[in-house]
Amino acid sequence: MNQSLIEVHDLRLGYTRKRVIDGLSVSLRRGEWAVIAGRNGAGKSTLLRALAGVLLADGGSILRSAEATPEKIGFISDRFSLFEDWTVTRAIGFHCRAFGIGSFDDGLLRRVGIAGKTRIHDLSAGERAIVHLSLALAQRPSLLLVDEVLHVLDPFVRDLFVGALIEAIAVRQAAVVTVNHVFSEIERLPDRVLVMEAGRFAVDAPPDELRAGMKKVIGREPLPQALPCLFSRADGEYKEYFIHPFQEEMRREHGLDFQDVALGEIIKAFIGGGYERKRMA
Amino acid sequence: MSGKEWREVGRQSLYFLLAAAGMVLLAIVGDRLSHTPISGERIAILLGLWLLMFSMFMGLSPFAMDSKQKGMEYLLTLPYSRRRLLLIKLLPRLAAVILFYLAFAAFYGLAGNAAFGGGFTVFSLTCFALFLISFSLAVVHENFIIQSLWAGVALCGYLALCLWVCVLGFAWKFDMPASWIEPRIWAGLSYDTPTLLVSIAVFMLLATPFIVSFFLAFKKFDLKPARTFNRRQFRLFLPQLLVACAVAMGVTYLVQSHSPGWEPRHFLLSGQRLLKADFPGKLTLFAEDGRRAVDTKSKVSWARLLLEQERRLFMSGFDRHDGSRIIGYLDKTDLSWKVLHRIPRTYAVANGDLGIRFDGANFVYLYSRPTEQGGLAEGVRPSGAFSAMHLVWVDPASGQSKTLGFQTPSGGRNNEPWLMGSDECNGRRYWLVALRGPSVLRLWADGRCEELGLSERIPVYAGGLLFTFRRGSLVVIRLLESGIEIVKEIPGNFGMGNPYFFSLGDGQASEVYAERDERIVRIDLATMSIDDVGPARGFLHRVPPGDFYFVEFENWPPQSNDKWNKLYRLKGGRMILLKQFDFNEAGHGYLIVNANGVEMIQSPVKDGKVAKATQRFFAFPDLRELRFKGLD
Repeated sequence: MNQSLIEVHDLRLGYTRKRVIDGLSVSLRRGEWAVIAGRNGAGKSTLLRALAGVLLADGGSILRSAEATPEKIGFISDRFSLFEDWTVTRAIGFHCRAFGIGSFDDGLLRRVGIAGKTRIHDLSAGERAIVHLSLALAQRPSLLLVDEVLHVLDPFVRDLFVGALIEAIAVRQAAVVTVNHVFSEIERLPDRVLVMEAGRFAVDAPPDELRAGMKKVIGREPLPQALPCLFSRADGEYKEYFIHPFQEEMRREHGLDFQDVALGEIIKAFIGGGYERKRMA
Repeated sequence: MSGKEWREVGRQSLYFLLAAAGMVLLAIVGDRLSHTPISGERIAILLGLWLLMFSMFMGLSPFAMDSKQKGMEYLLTLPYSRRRLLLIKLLPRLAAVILFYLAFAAFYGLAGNAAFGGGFTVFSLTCFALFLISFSLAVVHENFIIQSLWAGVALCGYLALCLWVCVLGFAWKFDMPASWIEPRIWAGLSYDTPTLLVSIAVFMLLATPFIVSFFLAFKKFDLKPARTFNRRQFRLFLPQLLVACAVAMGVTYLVQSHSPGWEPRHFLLSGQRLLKADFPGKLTLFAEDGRRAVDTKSKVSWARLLLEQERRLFMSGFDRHDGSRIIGYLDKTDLSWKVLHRIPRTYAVANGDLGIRFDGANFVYLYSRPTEQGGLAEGVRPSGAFSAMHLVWVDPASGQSKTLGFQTPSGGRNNEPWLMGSDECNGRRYWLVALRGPSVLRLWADGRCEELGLSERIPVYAGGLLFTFRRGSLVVIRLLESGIEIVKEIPGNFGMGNPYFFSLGDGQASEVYAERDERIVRIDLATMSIDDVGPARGFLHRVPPGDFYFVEFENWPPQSNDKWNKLYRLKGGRMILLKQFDFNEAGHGYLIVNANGVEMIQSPVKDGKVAKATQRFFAFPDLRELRFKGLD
C-alpha cells in the first residue's frame, strides 16, 4: 500500500525562459488517489506530462520504480491526443501492439455506445475521454495520470469514469493522479490533496486532515490576535476568516462559531480566489 | 509502430509517384503538341528535380502527420526510447528514398544520361544529403514551409562547404591555387577514383553533424517549444561540424595530394619511339634500346603532342606555375626544351587543349575575352561567350604570333567555336570555324568574317570541300572566293567520324570515307561518286594528312567482354585488314590510331570491376609491337 512508485526530487521544468515547475518534490505510492489542484498555469498539467514522460525535466530527477515502467503508466491528457484520422478500432489495435497488450476490454466503450468504426475526430470530448481511459486501463497501469477531463463528462459518463478509477485503485493497487478544479463530485474520494503554487506543492495532505485543520469564522468584529488566521475575505460588513491550524480548545477559549469548510473552498482559498493570505501555510 | 510508419511512407510515396507520372505525362503531351520529339533528357531533369523534392519531403515529414493528427503527445507516451522512435521514423523513409533513387538511376541510364552534364555524382550525393539534412530538421518548426526554407538554407551552406573542401582537394591534387579551379569541376567529382571516394567521404562527413546532432538532441525531445530543441541541437551541431570539416579536409589532403592529378600520357613517335609525359614537366623519350629523361624544370601538365618535325616535338600543356597554357618544343637531338608561346590564364581558349591546332603552317587557336584592352583582371574569369573572338597563329619556327579580332555575326550564343579547316583562296588564307548551333564561319586573314550556313552537326573540311550535315543528307560544298557553291547533296544518314581527328590542312585529299546508314562508304572527291565499302561495326579514324582507318569491334556496340579489335586501312574503296588486336583479357578495349602506329588500351573487367588501363604500342608499317624497357 505504501510502496513508492515514483519519487520526484527537486524537479525543475519550464518552457523557454519561463520556469513552470521549480524545485518540486513528491512521492507517489501504490493504491492512492492523489488530486492535484492549483490555479491556471500553476504547472499541474506540466507535472503530469513530466510524470508521463512527454516532457523531460530541465533539472532534478524523476525516479520510477520497476513497476512504473512506461508500459505501466497510463496518461489521459486534457488534449486527448490520438491520431485523429484513425478509427477507434485502429487506435485500439495500435495501442495494444505498442504496449504489448494481449486482450482489450471494451466494456466501457460499449456502455457509452462508441462504435469501433467511428473516427477519433468524430467523437465528443466525453467519448474521447472514455476511449483514452479504456486504452490506459488496458495497459493494467500501476500509475494512472488523468489530466483535467472530469468536468467535460456528463453525470452518467463521469460516474463510469470515476468508477473505473476506483476499480483500478481497488483491484490493481494503481496509483491515480488526477488534476481537478471541481471537487463537489469527488469530495470524499481522494486520499491526498496536492495544491500547486509557484512551481511546487504548497499543500500536500489528506483531505480529512485538511478539513479538520481548517475552520471558518464569520463576523463583523476583528479576529482575536491569538487565533491563527491563514486567509481572510471581506463580504460586505462581514469578514470571513480561515483559521489554520485549528484546535478544538479554540472553541472553548474564544466562544466563536468555527464552521467546517468544504474541500473545494479550502483549495479555492489556497489558489487565491478572492482571499487575502495572512501568512504562509 | 513501424507498421504505421511503413504504411504512411508507402501512401506518401504513392502520391509522389502519381504526381511524377502526371508531370511526365504533361511533358510528353507538351512535346506532342509542339511537334517535338519526346526528350528523355528533359524528363530525366524533371524527375531529378522531383526526386530532390521527394528526398526533402521524406526528410521533413517524420512528425508532420503525427502533428497534424494531434498525435504528438500520444506518440511520446508510447513505450519506446526517443532514439528508437527516431529509427522507426528514419528507416522507412530512407528505404523509400533509396528505392526511388535506384528507380531514377535506372531511368537516367536508359533515357537521359546526358541530362546532368556529367554531374550525376553531385546529384546523387545531393539527393541523399538533402534527405539527411531535412531529416535532421524535422522538428525545427511546426510549419512545413518554414521547415523547407531551413532545409534549403542548410543545404546551400552544406553544398558550399562540400564544394569548398572538394575544390581545395583539386588544388592539392593539381598543385595549384584553389582560385584557378573552375567551378565547373564541381560537376566532375568522379574525375578519378580517389576524387570520387574523397567526394563521397566529404559529403558523408559533412552530413554527419546534421544527423548525429539530431539523434543526440532527440534523446531529450519533448513537447517544449521547438526553439528549445533547436538550441540544444545547434550546441551539439557546431563543434561536430568543425570536427567534421577538419576531418574532411584532412582526408581530402591525404588522398588528393598523394594521388596523381594526371595519369602519364604516351605519344607514339616516328622511328618506333615513344614519348612519355609525366607531371610536373617530365618527359621521357623511349626507344627499344633505351630511354632518355628530360626535366623541363617546369610545373607543366602535358596535354597534347601537337606536331612532330624532324628535330622538334611540339607540345601543349598547362603551366601550373602561372596558370597559362603553353606551346613549346622538345629538341629530340639535344633534349633541350623551349616554351614557344604562352596563353594567359585569363584567356578562354576555345575547346581548351583540343582547340590548339596546326594548320599546315602555323599553330592556330581561338580565344575570347570580354574586353579588347589587356584581358581580364587577375582572378576574374572570362565569360566564355564568343560573340567577339580572337584568332591567334603562332609560327613554329620563331614563336612569333599574330592576333586577329572578329566580331561574330551570331551574337553571344557562340560558345566553344571549333576550328575545323584552313585553306587559301587566291593567296589569301582563311580558317573555317564551326559554332555550336552549328553554323559555319569563314575567318579571313584580313579580318573579314563570313557566315557560310548551318549544319546539323559539326561539319568536316577535306579535299577543299566542306561536308555539312542535314537531316537525311550530306551536303558537299565548294567554297568560292565569295560565298559557296553546292556541289552535291547525297541522301542518307551520314557520319564522318570524330571531327577532332581531322587536321586543318587537308586540301590535297582525293577521297574521304564516311558512315552511311551503318555502312562505310567512300566518296570520290573528283566525281562525287559513292561506293559501298563494308559494314560499320566500329569507328572511323582519320589520320592526317589524308589516311583513313577503320577499327572493327568484336561486338557492336562495344561490350565489356570484347576480346579483340580489328584494324583496317581504307584506300581506293577497299577495306584492307592490317591486324587483329587481341586483348589479354576480356574487357573494355580500344585502339588509337595515329600516323606512326597504334596504341591499344585495355581495361580488363574482372567480377564486374574495371581494372586499371594498360597500354601496348604497335608501329607502322608492319604494326610490330614495340617493347620499351622501363615503361610501366
